[in-house]
Parts: sequence; structure tokens; C-alpha cells
Amino acid sequence: MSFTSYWFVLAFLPLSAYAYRHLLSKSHFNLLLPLLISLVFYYLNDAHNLLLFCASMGANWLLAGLIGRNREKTRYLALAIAGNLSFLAFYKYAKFFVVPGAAFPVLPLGISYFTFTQIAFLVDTARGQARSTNPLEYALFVAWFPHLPSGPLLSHKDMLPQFLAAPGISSSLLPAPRDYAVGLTLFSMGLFKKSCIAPIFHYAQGDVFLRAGQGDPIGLVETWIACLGFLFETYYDFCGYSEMAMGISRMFGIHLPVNFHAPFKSSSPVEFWTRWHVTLGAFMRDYLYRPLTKKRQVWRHYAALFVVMMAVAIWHGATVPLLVFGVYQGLLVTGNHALRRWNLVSRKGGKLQHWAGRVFTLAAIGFSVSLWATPDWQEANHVVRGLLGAGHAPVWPGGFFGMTAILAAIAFNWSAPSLIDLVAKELPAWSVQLKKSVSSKLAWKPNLAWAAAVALGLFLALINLSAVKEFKYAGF
Amino acid sequence: MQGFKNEIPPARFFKYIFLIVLGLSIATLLGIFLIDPYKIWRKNSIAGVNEITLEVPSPIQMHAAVLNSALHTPNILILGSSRVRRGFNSRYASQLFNANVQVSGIDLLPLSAATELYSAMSKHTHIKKLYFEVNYFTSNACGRFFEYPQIEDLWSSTIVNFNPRDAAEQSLKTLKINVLGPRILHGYFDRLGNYHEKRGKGMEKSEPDQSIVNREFKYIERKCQRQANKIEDSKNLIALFKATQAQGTEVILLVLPTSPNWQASIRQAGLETAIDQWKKNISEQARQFHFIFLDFERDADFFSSIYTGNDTPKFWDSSHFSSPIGNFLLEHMARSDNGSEAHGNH
Repeated sequence: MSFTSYWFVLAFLPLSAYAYRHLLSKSHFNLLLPLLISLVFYYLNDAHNLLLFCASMGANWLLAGLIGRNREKTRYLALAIAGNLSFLAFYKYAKFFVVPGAAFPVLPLGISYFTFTQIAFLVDTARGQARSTNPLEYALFVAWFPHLPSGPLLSHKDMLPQFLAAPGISSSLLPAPRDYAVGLTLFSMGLFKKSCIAPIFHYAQGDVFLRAGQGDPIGLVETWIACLGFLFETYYDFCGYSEMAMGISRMFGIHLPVNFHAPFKSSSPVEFWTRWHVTLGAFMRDYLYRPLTKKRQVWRHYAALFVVMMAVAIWHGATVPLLVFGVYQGLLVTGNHALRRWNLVSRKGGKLQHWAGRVFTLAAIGFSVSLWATPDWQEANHVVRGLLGAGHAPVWPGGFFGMTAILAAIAFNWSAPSLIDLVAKELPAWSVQLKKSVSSKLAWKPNLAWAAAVALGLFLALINLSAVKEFKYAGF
Repeated sequence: MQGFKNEIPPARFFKYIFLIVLGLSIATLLGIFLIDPYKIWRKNSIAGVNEITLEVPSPIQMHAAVLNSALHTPNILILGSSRVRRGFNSRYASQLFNANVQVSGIDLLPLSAATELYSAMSKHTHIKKLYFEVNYFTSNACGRFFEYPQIEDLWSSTIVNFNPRDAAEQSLKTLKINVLGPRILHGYFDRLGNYHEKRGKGMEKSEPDQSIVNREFKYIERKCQRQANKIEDSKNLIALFKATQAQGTEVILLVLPTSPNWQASIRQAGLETAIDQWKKNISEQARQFHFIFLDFERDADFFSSIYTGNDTPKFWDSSHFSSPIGNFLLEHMARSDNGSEAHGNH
């Protein structure tokens, strides 16, 4: 039961929100009710792995207690992290180790997201930065259903205070009418992006990747359109999902962090990765990059950036193109930092630098799609050749539709405020932690104009829903 | 305009959203209901709205055929591939047979799907006669061209798989062709139910190019691997015959005409003997069940006397015959139905 199924949109979400509102007033349901809803959601999506999920939560809660109380924190922490990563690796990379023809285990729903979330909690417990929780609070923090299918990665620092805001007062979690309005707006717009916008860019890619896989000629323009089409498709798919998750959670009175904040407005690759999949970036920064750069040496800083980009690449999959993708992105971000360090580009820069940076960033990230979207080196190599105009086909067999869609997407993403910018005032400060939001005349408020926009988005999304594919990041 | 931007209480905000979504949904469903884009429930068309209709897309063809039979309870069913759908006019057939005739053409319908489809279609009506198209190239001798839906679950899968976007799109396309006229290069059915294809200037009556036909032929031949007499064909036909006998339905197997180019390709590939053998086998099986086998696959001379009009060729492509030929065949079938000796009756 995906977020994009009619069952979820028309039955599970309204019924669970209704039950939540009406049963939450009874104090003994406080926390237990949202946990129950989350477990029902997990059961409906992946009943087979529900016990495994509960076991992971139980084991990590016990480990957190052990780490918190014990003097030999480091040893227990290392064991806990190794255990969690082995658990994740077993499921994610099982296909590389099983005998050909043998069945490999099905990836549990949200395995990456709940594992990373728990690792962060364990590390912060060892650092003395996490408060001790009872099993119910911990389980709700990990299992909170809107983040399960594809994130965002949750931090206990943001989430636990919401659950514990007013202990003993059962209505602390009760959403206000405005929460429903903001939640419905985010959910509808996210659903619209996923079901109506993302498929346009899927269509715009044509059969370029298929032809590249077969070794057939591909032209320069069509390959660029296909790569940028893949990038925009992924963006509207994942950003749409993240906004839906925020919206759903908001309808239950709980805030989730922003995961995408207008990444195409970035004027450098470094900025791009702070706006794209924000919570993964924050996780990597806090739990991988910072521990590696405790000693302030420049080479450590660059090496840590490489390690982070490689880790992100391996998380996406263990293929040769993705490993090269990690190296490529590592080069981009270290190069970007080096240019700043040597004052060849300034952080603020002028208008020219800003726009040149935007074009360069889009082109550089678009180029990396050749490594990201291809399953093997042969295909990746063929797409790279196509991007460089050496795909053995005329430069210009690019579809008019694809070209128009890409140009419109670039123009829109560069000039229009993002949804997060428009609703920024309605979000808590920690949620939009990265960039200052632009104030706009179009800023969200409950008025007729926004009601019409939300209704139209929701209606078009509902019409399209039965043809929508699963989220791209659902199998992570 | 100011009121448009003024903040309103959240309750009213939700009310507006609900009303707009509800209004748009009702308007869309009403539009789909009026236009009936898959030709399922409509009996009479509305002038300027859905007199001209489009072909039902492949994924919904089986669903549409079953739902149509449940709603209109036909006595005679003409079932087959796209050649049946494009070539035969159900209105004309109903006049000729003086009965309620349903024409259902499913793209490349294999023999393996026939019994289940017949059973689903006869669930809500008694079909007296089943004209069933058999074709060497789309029988089980060939690899699967499409994944067909599970007929057993057809009713539930129709509801579960109903795709409002496709239905709305097909409705809009139908409305557009009715308002603006047939300007698209797709096929369509005119007001009388005859199929047409918009063709380029000067090509109106021309036969399809032999090189294109050869390419198509090679593709289909590769899929079929020259495996006539397959046991599955025989099994599927016997299953169909038994199912129809149990329901009291008479079966007439049809082999439909193909273009001279296609026949040339068959001769070139040396497949004539294999196809003849295949026909002999299935006609023998039909005879054992006291069913009829009508073979209309004839030389071009057989159809030379038929006048197709100024813009209509005898064949739209290598295998799809036009409605004048279809009408000619229907007349033969109707005569055969009335007891006269049909041409080609084995």
C-alpha cells in the first residue's frame, strides 16, 4: 500500500487521521495510537518483515541502554554499528553473494532509513547527546510511518522532543486545524509532483538508455535530454515523496524535516548536495564526515569528502558505474572546496558567477546521470560517449517534446519559488535548517487561491494515480 | 480578487478543496459516462460527441468485450483479432443476421485465451452462435505478443485496474475527433461503424508497400517459428468446442482474407503447405464436433468485384481488410446462417 495507491489516499490516510484525532484524547492512547497506526502501515506494506523490523527496534533500544549505562561505550557502540551495517548489507547486497538461481531475501520496507536513524541514535547516546527513552517513545520515533518507505532520515534531536513536548498532557500531539491545512497542501502537491510531473520526464528520456544498453547509436542532444530527464524525474519523484511524507506527518501534528530544498537553484556542486536529499547529507556530515575530520588537516577534509561521496554511491548500489559516480562526485565537491580555499571562487560571488555556477552545476550533475542511471560499465561508457557527442549518431535527433520539457523544467526551477519556500513560515525553524527561504507574494496561507491550487493538484493526481509507478527510492 | 487572497478559516479552506475536487471528479466521470470511450455501455451515440469512435486500446479490449456482452446480451458473437474489429461492422451484422450481434476484436488473440474469454462473455447471456477467427500466425504456434489479463479475475481486475487517466484521455480524444473531424493519423470508426484510416495524399487506395509487408512478415514468422500442428492448438480448440457445446452455442471457425502482398510473403517463405496442413487439422477437429469451418483466405480475384469507394482500399495494410470486404464476408456468413451453401464451406 504505497502512498500513491488509492487505498492509502482515500482510505488509510483519512481513516487513520480521523481515528487519531478522536482517540488521542484518551490519555492511555497517547503515543500508543500513532505507534499502532505505524505498525499497521508496516504490516499492510510488508507483513513478512514486520517481526524483523520490531526485532531491530528492540535490539537497538537495548543496545542504546547498554551504551548509555556502560563505561565501555566505544566497544559496544562499534559492535552495535557493525551489527546494524551487517544487517543492512545482508539485505541490500545479498544478490551478490547468493548462488545464481537461488532466491535472495526481500528487502524489508525502509531498511536503510530505520537503520541509519537508529545508528545515529546509538552514536548520540554514546556521545551523551541523546536522552534516554522508554521503549514506546523509541519505537514511535523509529517506526513513525510517514518516513518508513523512503525517509527522510529522522534525528532524535528533532523528533523525540515532539513526542515528549508536554508529558502527561494527552493533547500535545493533537494537530491544530492549520496543521491539517498545511499537511494537506504538502501532501497534495507532493502527490501531484509524483503522479503528474515525474512521468513527463520519464517519457522525455525516450529509449536512449535502452539503445545505449544495446550498443546502438545515440545522439548528443537526445542523450543530454535523457540524462537531464532522468535527473528531473528522480527529483520530482523523490521530492514529491518527501513532501507527501511531511504532509502526512503534519496531519498527525508531527513535523518532519525538509529533504529537498530547490536543489536546482544551487550555484555549486557543494551547495547542490546540501539541498538534495538534505537529511542524508546531514547524517553523513554528523556521523561520517565530522568524525573523520576531528584533526583539522586539509587533506583529511578532502579525503573525508571522498569517503562521504563513496558511501553515498555504495548506498545507491554496488555497481561499477556507481563507484565511479562516487569518485566523480568526490572530485566535484573537493574541487569546489579547493577553488573556494584558493579564492578562485568566492562564497557570495557576483551575478555572473552565480548564473555560471548554476549552469555548471546542472551540467555536471546531469553528466553524472550517465553513471547513476546505468546498470553496467558498458552502458555507462556508451552514455558518456553520447554526452560527449561520440555516440555514432547525428547530433540532433532530439525529440521536440523532451527538449521543451527539459527547458521548461530548468526555467521553472531557476525562477519560481519552491513549495518549501512558499510554506516555510508554517514549518518549524529546525525543519528548514539549510537555506534562507525566499519571501514571496505567493507564500502559503489558507485562502481561496491556495485551496483552488491544492484541489486542482489533488484532482489531477487522483486521476493519474492508477498509472503511477512505485517511488524510485522505495527499494533502499 | 482580494477575496481570493484573503485568509479564510481552515474549515472553509477544506470545504473549498473538497467541493472543487468533488466537482471536477463528477464532471470528469460524467464526461466519461456520456462519451463512453471504450464503447461499453452506449446504445445510441450523441451527435458531435461520440458518433465517431476510436479503437479501444489493447490493455482494455478484453475488459471492454466482457462488460459489453454483460450489458448488451448478444445472441451472436464474432470474436477474433484486430482484423475482426476493424473489418466487421456490428450494426450491419445485426441487420443481416436479424439478431443482436457483438463484434469483439482483441489484438493478436491467441487460441489459448479463447475458452476463458468465451466463458466470461457467455456468463450473462446465451450466445447462440460464435464466429471465431482462427489464424495460423496468432494461434499458439506463435510466441506471446502481449500479456493478457487473467480472464477469471476479469470482473474484479476491471474495477481494480480501471485507469481514470486513460479513460479521460480516450474521452478527450473521442470528443476532439468528433468536434474537429478525423485529422489524426490513427484509425477511427465513422458514424456507421465502419473503420477508416487516415492516409497520406495520393495513397488513399494504394496497397501497402511490399518491403514493409516483408519486414512485418519476418517479425511474425520469427515469433511463430513455423510450428504448425502444435498440440496446444488442438487442445485449446477442443476445450473451446466443449465449452460451447455445454452452453448450446454453435461454432463457426473463420479464416479471414489477407492482402496479396501477405500471400506473396507466405509463398516466398514456403509456408503455404504448413498453413494448409494447419487449416486441414483444425477443420477436421471442427467437423468432429459438427461445427463449421469457413475459409475466406482467397486469391485477390475473389474480392475483385467488390467496390470499396474512392478513398478506401481493400486492405489497410498486409492483413487488415476494409469494411466493404467485411460487409461482403458478413453477407456470405449470413447466407450460410440461413442455410444456403457458403462459399468455402469445408
